[in-house]
Amino acid sequence: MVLHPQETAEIVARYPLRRSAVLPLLWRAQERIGYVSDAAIGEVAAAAGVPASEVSSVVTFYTMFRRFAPPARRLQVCRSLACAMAGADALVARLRSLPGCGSEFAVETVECLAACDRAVAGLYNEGLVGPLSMAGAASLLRDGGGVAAPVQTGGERG
Amino acid sequence: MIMRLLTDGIGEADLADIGVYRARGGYRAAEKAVKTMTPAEVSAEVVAANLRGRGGAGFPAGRKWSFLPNDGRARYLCVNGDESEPGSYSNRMLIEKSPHLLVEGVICSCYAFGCNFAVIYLRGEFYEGARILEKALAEAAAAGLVGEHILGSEYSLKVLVHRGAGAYICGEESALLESIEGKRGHPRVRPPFPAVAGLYGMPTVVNNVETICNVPGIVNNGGAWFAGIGSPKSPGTKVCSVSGHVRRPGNYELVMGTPLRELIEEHAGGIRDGHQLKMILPAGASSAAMTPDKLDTLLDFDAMAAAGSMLGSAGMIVCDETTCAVQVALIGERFYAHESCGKCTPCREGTKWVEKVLVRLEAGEGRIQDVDLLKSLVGQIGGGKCLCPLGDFAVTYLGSALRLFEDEFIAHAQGHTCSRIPEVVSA
Amino acid sequence: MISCTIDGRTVSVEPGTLLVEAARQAGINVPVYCYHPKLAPAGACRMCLVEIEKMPKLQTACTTTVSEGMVVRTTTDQVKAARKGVLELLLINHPLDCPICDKGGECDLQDFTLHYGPPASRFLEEKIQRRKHTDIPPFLVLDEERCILCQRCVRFEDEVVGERNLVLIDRGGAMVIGPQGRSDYPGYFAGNNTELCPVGALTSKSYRFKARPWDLQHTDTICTQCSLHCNVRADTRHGDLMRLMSRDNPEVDGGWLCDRGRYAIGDARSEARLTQPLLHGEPVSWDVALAEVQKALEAGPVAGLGGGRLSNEAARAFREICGTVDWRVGRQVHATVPGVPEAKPSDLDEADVVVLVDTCVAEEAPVLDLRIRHHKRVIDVGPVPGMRVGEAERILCRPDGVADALATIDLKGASHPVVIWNGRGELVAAIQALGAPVLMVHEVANARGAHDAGLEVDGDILAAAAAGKIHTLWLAGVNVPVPEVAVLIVSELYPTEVTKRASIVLPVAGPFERAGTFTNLGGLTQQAVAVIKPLALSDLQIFQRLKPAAQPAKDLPARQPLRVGNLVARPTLYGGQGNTRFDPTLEPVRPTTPVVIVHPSRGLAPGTRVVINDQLEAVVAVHADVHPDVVVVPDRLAAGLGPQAALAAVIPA
Repeated sequence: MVLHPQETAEIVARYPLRRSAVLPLLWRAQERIGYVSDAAIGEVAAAAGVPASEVSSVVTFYTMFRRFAPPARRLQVCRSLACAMAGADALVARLRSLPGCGSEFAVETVECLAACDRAVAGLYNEGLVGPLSMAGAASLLRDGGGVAAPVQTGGERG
Repeated sequence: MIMRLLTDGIGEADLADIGVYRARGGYRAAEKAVKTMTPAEVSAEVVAANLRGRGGAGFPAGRKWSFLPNDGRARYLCVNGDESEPGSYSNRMLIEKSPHLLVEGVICSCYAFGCNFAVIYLRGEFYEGARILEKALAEAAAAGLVGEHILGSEYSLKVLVHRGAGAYICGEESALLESIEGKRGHPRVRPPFPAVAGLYGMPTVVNNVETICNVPGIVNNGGAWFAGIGSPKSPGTKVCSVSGHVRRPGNYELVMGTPLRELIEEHAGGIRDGHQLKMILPAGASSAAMTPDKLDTLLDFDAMAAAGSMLGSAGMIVCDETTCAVQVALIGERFYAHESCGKCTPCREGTKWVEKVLVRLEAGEGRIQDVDLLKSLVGQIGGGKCLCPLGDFAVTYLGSALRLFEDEFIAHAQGHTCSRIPEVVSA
Repeated sequence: MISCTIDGRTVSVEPGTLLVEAARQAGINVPVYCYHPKLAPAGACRMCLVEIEKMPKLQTACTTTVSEGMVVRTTTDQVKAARKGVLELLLINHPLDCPICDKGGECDLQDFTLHYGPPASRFLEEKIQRRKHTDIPPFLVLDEERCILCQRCVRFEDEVVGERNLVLIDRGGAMVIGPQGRSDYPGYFAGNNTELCPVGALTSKSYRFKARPWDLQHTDTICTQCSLHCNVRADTRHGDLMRLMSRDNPEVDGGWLCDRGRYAIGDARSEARLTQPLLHGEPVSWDVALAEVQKALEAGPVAGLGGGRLSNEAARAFREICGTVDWRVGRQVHATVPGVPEAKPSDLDEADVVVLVDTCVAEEAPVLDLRIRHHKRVIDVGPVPGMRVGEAERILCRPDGVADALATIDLKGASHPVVIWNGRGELVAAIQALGAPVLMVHEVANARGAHDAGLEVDGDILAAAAAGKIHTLWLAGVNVPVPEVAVLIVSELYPTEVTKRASIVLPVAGPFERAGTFTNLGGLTQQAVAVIKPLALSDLQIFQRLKPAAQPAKDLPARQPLRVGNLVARPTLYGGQGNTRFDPTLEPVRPTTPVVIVHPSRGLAPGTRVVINDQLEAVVAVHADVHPDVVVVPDRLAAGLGPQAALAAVIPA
């Protein structure tokens, strides 16, 4: 079992209709094993009372659900307008040429992370990071350096 | 003019702590509403405030609530925190920095229209926001502010955080409802509108995070007070996100009706050194570009529309003269092609096609016919031809750029290429 | 009624009518892809954009309901440009290979492009390449490149079938349709998707490249695979049956066909068919065979068994010839429940409560099941679950406890209850006590017709035969173990266990080779039409050439009630009832090894090979929702254990 039955029951019970538990249960499965496995899809389908094929279809719609376990260190670089204007594409290209990319760490692109004041912004595993420099990003991917500090807040104070 | 109704205390105090929030007067509105006002009285204040939806459409929240049919069915509130429009990042700040304001807004709003179940939908990428909001909800529950018999009253309210998982389209209200129902985020056919048949087919209100955050202030100070702030037809404040080629990118809460020039030149510090403004995309990547001659436009729903663009969620992307209008179009279209849900033909097929043409054009491999082709595709995708607004969003900037900067498109079609965007140099 | 004006023509329609339907009523065709009258509006393809007065933007006719005084235009330049625009977008990634596409000639994309489309494409980019002719066993082939993502199939699977055997995969420009998480289509309704598909994306393996639409002749007839009698259009080419298409009859099928009905049409082409009469195993002429039959009819007591597969006319003739005839040779003993109203299939749409009395509709009359699976309240009584899809309130009981379980149901609060029963066992009184309309599901296609034609006798013909009281026994289209008799006549399509023993074998015309009326489970009598050349005389023609028996069998021993034990015999759709077990088209779905279902408490692992009553080998399936005592055996297998078999001992092989 990927999901814990008691926790599953608790999540299902939160909603007026149990099919609403599909996304939260998929998230829970991904937190547990790093990705959404076929077994997890079956468990989610059974718990939420929808066909497994439909859960599977839902998984392919949302970009954050993974069907394979990712490397331990994973940087998702925003490539939307503000970040692209700040050089996101070139940054991604250079990071992808680093040795170990794909095996030890992953460099992916994402669309706008709602951190445009920190262009180039990124998600390092689950933490928002930015502005990203080549050196800073490379250091993150090497050993996770620099993420211990909490998320920087940009010019929010006004 | 800066006026901090929603952002008050952000950056100064840890408002995510319920003790701090309460010490600064937090949850007074919830107490006032639940203990001393009838639901109809709260609704009346929100109607009087003329609080217009901050998600972009600007539809008055009080009127939206009044559309709920009085047929005894359960009603739901879904708070749209799917903030995904490139350029917008004010909701994330409110969620992370002042989560209790949002929770209090949810309590006041739900009480006003008789709702006992609210879902705050956060985009999946807001890991931090979800943790902070979950903690805030737990604190509020422990303090008897949400859950059964709020503040000892007969009123009960359940509030859930529901996370998306990577889909811009879920910011569209009917796609958001589908996503809460555990489905692919495909927009629904409308009518019926959510007020009549929303979540699980029940009457549902969908309001943006910032809209809901305005409700406690209205309850505390009255609708008339709110209606007196800023532009008469767009009262209140708007948290504007500024990014791009400005000295001080950030969120700035301004009184509605503040000139765009003040935001860009004063608060955001003006264009970076040695450069001049070329254009602003005032409501993110989906808005028509505004050229420097429009800088004196007032920031409110009507004035921005009159100036040929929109206030939207006020995610201002500022571009200086080094920016290539074709490149911006390509980056934007790449986004929309990636985020099209695929349900309807023009958006699914059209955004991909436009992206492919722009890739060629940007690389100097276009043909002169491509400019007319792009204009034609803007018409084939835009103008309300798609099932949901994403189709229009996908070609709004492009359409404006083809008008304002046609020469750049022609130059690219004739083989010109712009210098590549420089690599990141910031620390 | 409200009226609107479309292209200058005023039309009155029911309130709530969609604009696209109002236009059709006015004789105006608005092109559509995603819209289908049986599915909820999707507004997805954007092909049906029209101009409506007082609306600034074009609107989709498939999602707009008509309002009083609405003025609509469907032929303006703006509308034409929009259609052209959508078609251009649909075609950019669509292969332009109509001459080699199986849908050519009946493809909406081809047709609309001709009528409304752009003369040429401005698309210079590379087309997206996708998977071509992917096999979706058992019946479908998918061409992803031809799919225009109208989503009719996935909506059908969701809204009608409720199984989601086809879903959307990925999103945006990468989106495709297909089975997800598996490669096949496990349901019973795959073929409907080929009819819903407006292009050549989903096609039937059995029809692909067999014919061009303009070469086909269409004949309206009915399917007689089960007792529902879905309406079909038989498409023939040069006298060969190529395919069946649905023909919407809201009272019967609602426009859908099951895959057995649609695809089990191999009779006409089967090499295995009997085509010549046999006398003691030797081929003889019809004249010789019929003379022998006539002699046997006059030589002693005569009885006939079967008739549930015959047309009403043939059934009446069978009774006239043999005198003593009973259609009930299987487990069904009742064709009707007297004293309560008879329900029709369409009554299920209005029903607020459906009671399944030890009956699995999905296996016995699949298309009828589509009217049940979305029901809010289904009460499912019996030792085996009756619902293949959808939720039900289960009243689990022992096989001998069904009547007692029914007694616990109170339908007084229900406004439109319907009880469904397959006529097996002695439950008439218990069902009468429910006081609700009853819909019978029969184990043979024209059981109701045979019942109405009086093909029932009080006694037991087989017992009479065993007691030596019958000289000539005629089996009409049935295959059951029979005692020794002086003359055994079998009229059949295929060689079976009993034809091998028969004195006289008479081949008969197949289902699409004979005309006649058939009465369905709702009491509706419809006409079947001969669409292809017969390989033998029809049953009716045979009877018409004979004179009635001199002495119909009399003084039959009393019919023993069916013994009830732990053995539960169940019909299964592809389990080989009747002639489908010979149909080559069904080869891929025919179970190779019989499956028996038992409760987990028996401790048998799924897939265990077992022997039942020292006679029959089977494979075990385990289901928590069957009664712990029972062994569920497919009908045909149970028949091999004898009609009175009631006990099953399961021993691992």
